Amino acid sequence: MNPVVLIVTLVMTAYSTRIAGFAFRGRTMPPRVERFLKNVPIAAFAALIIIGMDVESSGADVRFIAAIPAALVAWRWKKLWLTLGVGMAGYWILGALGLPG
Amino acid sequence: MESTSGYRAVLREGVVDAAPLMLAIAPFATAMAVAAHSAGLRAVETVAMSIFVFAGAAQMAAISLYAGGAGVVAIGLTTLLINLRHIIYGLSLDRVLPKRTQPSRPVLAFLLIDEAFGFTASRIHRIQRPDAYFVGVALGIYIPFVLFTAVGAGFAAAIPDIERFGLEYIFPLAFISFIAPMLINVQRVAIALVSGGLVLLLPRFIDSGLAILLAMAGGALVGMLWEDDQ
Repeated sequence: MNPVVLIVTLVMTAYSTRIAGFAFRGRTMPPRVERFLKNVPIAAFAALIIIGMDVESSGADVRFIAAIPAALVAWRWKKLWLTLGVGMAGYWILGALGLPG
Repeated sequence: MESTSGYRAVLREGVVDAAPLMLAIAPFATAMAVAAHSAGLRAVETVAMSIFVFAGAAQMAAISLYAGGAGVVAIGLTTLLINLRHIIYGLSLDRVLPKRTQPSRPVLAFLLIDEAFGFTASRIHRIQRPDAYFVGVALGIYIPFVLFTAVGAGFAAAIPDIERFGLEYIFPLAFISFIAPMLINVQRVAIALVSGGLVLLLPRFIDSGLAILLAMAGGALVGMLWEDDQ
């Protein structure tokens, strides 16, 4: 396949999905739809977290366990840097301890 | 933290807030570029892909398929499925953006990535100019993404097996930092559990890209119906 065809294909599939949600251009929606859309972020974050846990690969146990202190720190102090620091530190320490994954 | 109303100041805030993610973007983009090199893509083609597509997961999948000799239909369908979740991001974001955004919505759409959506959605109540913040976060990721693609593509032959120290774990950690303060009542926790549960279960039965979209929609649906009951 010509690499240009590859790139154009990717551009089309990426941009079409990205622009689709904006097609309504700020028009008002029925309350139910508003409630649905308002709850998308929290649902999206939960899904993305689970995807990031990568349950199919080795080390998933470590990822889940290390997420607990990170989540507590995030809940209490709400700072990104702190959550990342605690999370990665826990992840590396548990990994170094050679916990089964 | 006080938010300022100046566009540039808010944009800068977005760039600064997204800066920690560079630790994960750099190894990811470099590794992806090295994979592209192995797949037979030239450096200029790999970099062009990052510049014009800006979709890490889809690019990675496309490169793997390309390396395996897949055709344009297979690659197109796979990447379309992977990108489906952007529709729901766009719908959710559209309503909290001002009627006229700077830049225009079609330009903002190009920058729609998980993290830009995530940062903006989690801070929407504190920002005066969500469009500026969104652009800041997106650019804060786009520039390193393209740069490190170039590094990986340019030096692919010289880069050994990339030990990423598991830095990709930064992505779910970032989303944990967004979600944790939101889990303030049972309803919110239920939404998260439904969505998380669905994304674990559904990929066994259906394509994972579709599963992600349905999981997010399912969680949001629970939120919609729950409030309905009251």
